[in-house]
Amino acid sequence: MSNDNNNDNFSPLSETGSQVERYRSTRREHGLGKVLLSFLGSMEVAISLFVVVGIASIIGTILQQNQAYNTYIIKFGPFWFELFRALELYDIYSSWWFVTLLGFLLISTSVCIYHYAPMMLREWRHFRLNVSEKSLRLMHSSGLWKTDQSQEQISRFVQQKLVNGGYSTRLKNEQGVLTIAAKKGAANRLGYLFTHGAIILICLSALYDGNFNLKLRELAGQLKPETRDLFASQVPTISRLKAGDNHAFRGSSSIPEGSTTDIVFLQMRNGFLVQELPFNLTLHDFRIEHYESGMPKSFESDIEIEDKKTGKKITKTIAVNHPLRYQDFAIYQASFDDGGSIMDLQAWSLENGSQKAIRFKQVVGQSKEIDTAQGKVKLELTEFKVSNVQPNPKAGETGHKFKNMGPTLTFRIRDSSGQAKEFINYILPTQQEGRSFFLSGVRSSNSEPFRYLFIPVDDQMSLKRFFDFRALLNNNREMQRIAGKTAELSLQGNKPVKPELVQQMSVVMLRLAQLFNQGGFDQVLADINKKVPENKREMVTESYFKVLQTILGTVYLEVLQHEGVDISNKITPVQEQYYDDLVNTMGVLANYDAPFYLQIKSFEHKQASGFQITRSPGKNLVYLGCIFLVIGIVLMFYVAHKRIWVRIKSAPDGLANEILVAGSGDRHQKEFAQEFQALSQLLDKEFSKQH
Amino acid sequence: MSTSTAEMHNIFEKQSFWRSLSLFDWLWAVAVWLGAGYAWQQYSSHMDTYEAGILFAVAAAIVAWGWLWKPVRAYSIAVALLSLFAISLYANNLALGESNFFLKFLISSKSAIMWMSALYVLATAGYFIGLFSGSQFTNKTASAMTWSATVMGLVGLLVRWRESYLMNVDIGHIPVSNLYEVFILFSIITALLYLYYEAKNKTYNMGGFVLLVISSAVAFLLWYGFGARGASEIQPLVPALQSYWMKIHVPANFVGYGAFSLAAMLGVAYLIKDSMIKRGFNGPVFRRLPELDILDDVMYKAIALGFAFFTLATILGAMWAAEAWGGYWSWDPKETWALIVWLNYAAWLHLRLTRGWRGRPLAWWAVIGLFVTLFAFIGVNMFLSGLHSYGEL
Repeated sequence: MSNDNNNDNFSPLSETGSQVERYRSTRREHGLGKVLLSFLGSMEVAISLFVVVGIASIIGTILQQNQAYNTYIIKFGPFWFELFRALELYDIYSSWWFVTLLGFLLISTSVCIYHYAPMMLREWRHFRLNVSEKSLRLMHSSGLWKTDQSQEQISRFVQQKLVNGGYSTRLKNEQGVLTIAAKKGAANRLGYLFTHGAIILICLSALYDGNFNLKLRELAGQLKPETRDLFASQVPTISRLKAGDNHAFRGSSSIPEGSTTDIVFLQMRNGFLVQELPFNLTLHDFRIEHYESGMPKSFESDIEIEDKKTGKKITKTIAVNHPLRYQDFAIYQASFDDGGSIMDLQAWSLENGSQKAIRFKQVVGQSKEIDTAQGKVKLELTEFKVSNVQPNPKAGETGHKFKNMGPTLTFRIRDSSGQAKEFINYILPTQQEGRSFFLSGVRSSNSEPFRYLFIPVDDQMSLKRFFDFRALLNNNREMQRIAGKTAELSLQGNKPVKPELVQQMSVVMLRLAQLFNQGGFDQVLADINKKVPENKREMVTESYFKVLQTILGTVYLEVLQHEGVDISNKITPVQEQYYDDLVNTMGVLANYDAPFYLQIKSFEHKQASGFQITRSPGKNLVYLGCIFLVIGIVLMFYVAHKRIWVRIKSAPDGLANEILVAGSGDRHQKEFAQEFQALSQLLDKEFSKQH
Repeated sequence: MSTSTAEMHNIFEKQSFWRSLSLFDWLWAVAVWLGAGYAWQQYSSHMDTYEAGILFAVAAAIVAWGWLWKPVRAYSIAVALLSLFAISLYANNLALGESNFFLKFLISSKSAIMWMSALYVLATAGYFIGLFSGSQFTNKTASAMTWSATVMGLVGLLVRWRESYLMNVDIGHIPVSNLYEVFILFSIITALLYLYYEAKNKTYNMGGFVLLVISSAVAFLLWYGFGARGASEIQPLVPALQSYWMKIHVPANFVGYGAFSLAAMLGVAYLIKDSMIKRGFNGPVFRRLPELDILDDVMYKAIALGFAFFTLATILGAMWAAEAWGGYWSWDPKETWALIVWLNYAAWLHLRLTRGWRGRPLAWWAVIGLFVTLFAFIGVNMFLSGLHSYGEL
């Protein structure tokens, strides 16, 4: 109370701020500790910290956080990589210096509360009855009235009006002077405490939920993140955390359908820790639903948890936005993956001279070595998708905007030097202008689009005819026979048939067929360009292609005949169309440049669901802090703190009473001036205004 | 000012807030609640508990808003009537949008947005003509156009909400899910905030400045929605966005963005007026520009309002993140930039309230603040990758 007399007109957070300075100077104590304290609590430090934390945060948004270290090395080179690593820029928000900065912000706010809280509380509670007449006269809004009514009458009237206006009042009678102190919206002062207290509460609770304790244990040598690519069971104890050993974490775990786990991986810079859970988590089923456009509509996992201690089981379906909460753990649907689908595959060789097809089973996500003419290659199955919805080119005719192209398998073929090409094979044949093809895309790097190979499908909806055709082309002995036969047949017009001519013709045919087999029409053209002088090229090309078509046609007929097709009559248009497609595909096969074509005969789909599992005991405290923050902000900005004083005393002539009314509206002087005017009008009606 | 005080109800005379309400206030409030009740009766099967809660909380908020700021009553009635008219015209057939006259040219979502866009641009020009010519009539027309644009904008959003369900029930969602939709929301909210301060301060001359930022939003909207991007098509929601949180997080955020933008534009007006004073201008345009202390005051109030809503929105976002991504704070770029924006305005408010800063420096800061806000709003989606990438450019 003693302060009230000295500071009766001060208002913290006032229009000019000078009052605060005045207040602080009265509190300023001496000694180094005190100086430091007052420095830490100063606005300059707070604002500087805002700026520094802001800038540091920006760095973290520009430099992608928590990538694999290799990515950074490639991006920055070894020198900058090391420097940035030393500055902990790859995980900036849990770096020592960033956490220290936040710590300073916390200290600064705490010191600030320490400085101002007593004053704010006083401001909130006290009415300041000990106000001097002089200071009242100096206020922005003030007025003087005179009346012959008694002090009690005046007091009752004025108090009634003030209460109507939302003010609460206190009264003091001292030596014949009646003072009424009224205030409204004093909770504004609590706003300060709520907001600043909330910041401290939020920061501390969030710190408790962060990985700060793990960093401390790492520093003490009790923990070491594992950086090798190991199975969870092989991870050594120094990188493992027991179930009750860690009060807060945020980790992830991927579980194939039908499997169970009791660990999560916690990422830590370029390594990870294995966190054991007090329960077993089983994934029974994982489902994806799609919109018509093929966009995913929902991801759902049927999970079961079994408490290791009590054996209690809980079954629940979780989805994005619908996690399972168990004790203080939460299990979120985070991602999905292939859970090891089994592919039944047939590799049709595309190499010259080879005609073997091998059949095997392989699990998605695994790799396998395959012998080819160029040595061993590695087949890596990377992704299996059950459906591929694409915009329908015939949307107008069918009314369906989208169509499902069926399952695809994405894989890489890596040669002995480590170079890889990526392929995507559609498992079902695709319709193109009424004909069916197997589609296979190929590219050499991720930045390229896929180039597609269309392999025609035969009457049996299989690839057999295509590869039989290739096999026959690759069979030298058979080809010699066919070439001889075809040459003889084609020369029947020129009687008598000279054997040397037939021989010559069959050699040409054989060579052209071989060239075609090696590199399609391009190869044939290249050969002509190399060997034939320019002026004769056009003529030679024309006749060579005629010859080539003849022998390829014969080979095709032989293949059909082998299938049991009766070729004594004319072949059907479908078979003729197939021949055109076949020759076209053979013609571009060289660009496909793969040792084999991989056909997916059947598959067994198995999915894995990715979970995020967290334990954040501080969460509710953070939310409480958030509620305080909002309450505080509303109080600070939308509750106006206003005070009015009324001082009633005998006029100098002793016959009447004098009423001095004054007030201040703190940050809302303009609104207060209006309010004061409204009060004045009422007083004018009752008393006589003095000037 | 003194006349207005006299007309005003004297707060020191005993009269409760409730008794100050007119018959129309009550009838209107009943209509709002009946509307909410009807919506609940019709669609409660599509709502979860939270969504029903949001529905009734919104009804209560609209009533409170309309009682405190009377023009909201007429505004809400106009929006409701037009939207219901459009919805009844559709009669469960989306294709009518192309053939029905009223829908095609007036109140299908796309047409309403077009009207909104045109009216905002015209209003911007109107306010500036008013400022330069001093014509009160032009000013009033510009103000009326701003109101109309704001009606059409909200009608556009509400009708789009219905249209999304007409496309397919499983596609239906509140239209605040991509950049196209939130730019409409941004325009409406900024305009409403402006109209409030226009009425409160009885000056039309801030209009041009504020509407300038809305017109820019409209230009972006037209380019993004109807230009090469074609982003005005309704798209289904990805699983992460299928939550009641979207209904509160996004609008709260845009009250913040809108208020900060408004403050920045007033900052521009302040700086212009201030430098005119320094150079000794004294022409009619100079005199028509609002007083510096009014600009300063409205700038402060807008930032305080924006800060309150931005804080709330960020908290709601954190709670949603805790539900969808498994943590209330992940230092995702969007989250981090929200923090940066928050720190920026926290610093602004500290300097004003405790250091007593006023005028020029804070006006400059508010203008720069717009760029920080803008980056948090669109820049993050354009340049940075993260979890919060719903509406890439």
